[in-house]
Amino acid sequence: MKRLRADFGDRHAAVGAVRSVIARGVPPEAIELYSRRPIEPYPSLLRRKSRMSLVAVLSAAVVGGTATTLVYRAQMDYPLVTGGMPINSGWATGVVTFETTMAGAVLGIVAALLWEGRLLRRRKPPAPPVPSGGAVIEVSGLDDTNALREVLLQAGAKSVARAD
Amino acid sequence: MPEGSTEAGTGTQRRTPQWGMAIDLDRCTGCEACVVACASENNVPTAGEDQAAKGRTKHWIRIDRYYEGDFPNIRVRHRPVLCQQCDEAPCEPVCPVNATYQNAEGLNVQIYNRCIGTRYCAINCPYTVRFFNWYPPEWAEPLGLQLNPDVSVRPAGVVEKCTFCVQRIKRAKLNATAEGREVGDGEIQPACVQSCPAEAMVFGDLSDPSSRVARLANSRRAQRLLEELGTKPRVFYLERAD
Amino acid sequence: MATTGTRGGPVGHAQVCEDLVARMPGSSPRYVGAVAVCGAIVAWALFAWGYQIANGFGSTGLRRPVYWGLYIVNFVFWIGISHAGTLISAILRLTGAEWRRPVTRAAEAITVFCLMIGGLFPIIHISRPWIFYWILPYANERMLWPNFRSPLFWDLTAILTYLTGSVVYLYLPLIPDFAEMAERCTGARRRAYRWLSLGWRGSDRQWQALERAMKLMAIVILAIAVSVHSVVAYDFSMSLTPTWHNTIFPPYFVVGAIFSGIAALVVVMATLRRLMGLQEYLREVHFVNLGKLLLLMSLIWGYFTFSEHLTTWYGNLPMEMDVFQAREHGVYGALFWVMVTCNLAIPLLLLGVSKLRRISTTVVCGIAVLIGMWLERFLIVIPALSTPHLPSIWGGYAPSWIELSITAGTFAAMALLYLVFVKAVPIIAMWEYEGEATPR
Repeated sequence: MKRLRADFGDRHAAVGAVRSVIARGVPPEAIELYSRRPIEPYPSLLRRKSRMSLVAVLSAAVVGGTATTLVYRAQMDYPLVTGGMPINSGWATGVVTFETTMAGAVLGIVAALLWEGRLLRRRKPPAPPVPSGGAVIEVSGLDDTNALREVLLQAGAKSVARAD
Repeated sequence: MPEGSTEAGTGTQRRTPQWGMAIDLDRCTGCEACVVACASENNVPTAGEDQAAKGRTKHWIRIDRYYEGDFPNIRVRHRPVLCQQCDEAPCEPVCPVNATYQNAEGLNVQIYNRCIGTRYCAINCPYTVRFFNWYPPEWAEPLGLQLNPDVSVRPAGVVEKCTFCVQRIKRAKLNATAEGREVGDGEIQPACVQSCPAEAMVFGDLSDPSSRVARLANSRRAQRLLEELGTKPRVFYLERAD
Repeated sequence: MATTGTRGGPVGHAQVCEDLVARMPGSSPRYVGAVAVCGAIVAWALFAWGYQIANGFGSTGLRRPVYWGLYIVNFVFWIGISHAGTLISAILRLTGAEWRRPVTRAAEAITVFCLMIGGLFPIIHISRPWIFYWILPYANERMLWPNFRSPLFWDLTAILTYLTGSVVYLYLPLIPDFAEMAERCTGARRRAYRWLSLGWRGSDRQWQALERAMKLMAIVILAIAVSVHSVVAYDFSMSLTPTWHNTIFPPYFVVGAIFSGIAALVVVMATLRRLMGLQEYLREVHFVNLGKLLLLMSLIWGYFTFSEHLTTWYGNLPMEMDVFQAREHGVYGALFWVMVTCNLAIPLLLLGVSKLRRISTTVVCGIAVLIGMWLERFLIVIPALSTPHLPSIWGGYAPSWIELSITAGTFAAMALLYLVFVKAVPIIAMWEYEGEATPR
């Protein structure tokens, strides 16, 4: 399995190159597009699947639910004589439920970002130096590099090299 | 009124008493004997002149004076105000560390060790009968020599208030248990009740309909302070309607 | 400078980065002097706090019945200002307001720093701060749990959530800039930036994940920000104190918080613009736009204030009227009219007349609103506590040098945190800002 790296001086040329590479049958998962600024908007071919919203909602439900249960259990298992007030009340616990649910959402978003953005990974190839204003395309998992090299050069790459 | 089991250590006590007080305002002369008795019974420190001028005095019971009418036809009304031991006390739910709660006998108790000093209870008490220890307690000599060994001295930074002389309640219950009987009506006298020369104050068990305090609380002259707030106080003020 | 745009600012990623990094303060005598002055004031405030802990709460000006004083005023004030950031930046992000780009980071930083300061006040306020952690729900050996019914416990959850959320919200867009900074530095700074960038490589996966995360965070942080100041208002409205027990307080507090937050943002932006020479980035359009927001919030604040006072006055409940009278007359009355002038009259005049609306007038309004909103918090807390239900115990309040020192110290702490921040990171998000080659 081989890896190709192509340098582009122009971000938009790189986007065109991605299109051509995908048209050659390379799966989008094998392509990485590096840039120092986000390329807005990303071409639909490169839209990565995301479960971030789902993770956020689930994490919110879990954290909020756990906290509410803890409050409920703590109040019921160690009851105080409170005079007229109920031992446990949904109204009074509501604020705690809301805040911990939101805290859960925040934690979920951070976790999903770290996972989906592949941040905080120990072992990985060094990031290619990306020229300011330009972009770098990396295609991995190739059997034959020669055909793709031509495609990339035609799409405007300044240089194409093996990167493994 | 809350139901609860008898507290541990009280043994033969069958029924949980519900302590309450009745104060006859038509008898009160405003002599402030109760204020002095309370301070000496409960180790309430003196503030000193400078601190008193700053509003830092502590009186677990105080006499509120109100003037009615125009000179020369002035009528002075006195009202001893102490912790009303509310059944639905606004001070309790706001404390973040549960330093104050209502015990089975209906007393609002303050756990000094647990208090972290947010003073939320003190501002949420509509009667402003909760007091804050601004400094470590001090007594003008020779008052420091007569501290009551039954009552803890509160450290700086905690909130304190009237306890209905809980140490006297405890002692009476222990005595009754030792003698194998129940606490009799009028057997317990908080310091303020004991020292009132006009006998304007009565303390006892509100849940016993035959007790003196229960009969007074049910009298037509009885009313409670700021009753409209829904705090359900346990101190009843008797006053001629006029 | 290589290329310049139509408005004189640098254009293109490389130029923007270079320019912004060049503008980060070095260790000039002016910078060191500012840090020293702020540090000295903060140190003095810490000394005052230590004095208060060592000598007892009697050294403050608090008394019965005013058991809550300047600390609570400052607590509400700083938590209010913290809404600057996150809320404004979140609204602008969600609505896709392009002019927000140079503004958001300054705003988000305000939020984090104000929360750090505001969140400290409850601890300063309690008289036994060494056991403040007893409010946390941890399983101790006696299984004593905190009181989950207490608004102060709600405060704890709300502020911790908000602090977590706003730190994340500030940090996420910093990640690419940390990676960028690592490229431009050497030695220990490079290692620190690289470590902070969490292995950012600028791949499209990361960019897309980051943008998605920022969108979600903007939604979450909006909900949190509204709830936080509502909970701060609950501290008051859950109590029986006359005029506090009031359903208008939560929205009133949220409006006041956003209002003072925008004012703080304007003042901070003007300061940065002047001291760091960011005239090409923070332009008149930003101040004018924020000025319009400020004017809108001023009107909403005026409406809430009027409604609150009208209902109190018309209801004519004796105990509420006592507070009302105290607020309308005497010293508090004077402060009340200063507040109305600062919060309503000045913004209406300077920002309502379009010819007067420019950078200088917006900044004047910002300062006026900050003063007015501080007074608003003061007038909510102190007069109500001075006149409790039973008139026999009414009493006034004057802060002692301790409270005043700590109050001054928090403003210095804010400046100090900002001084450190602008030295460590570019105050304008480099990856978000491209320069304005084509006027929008």
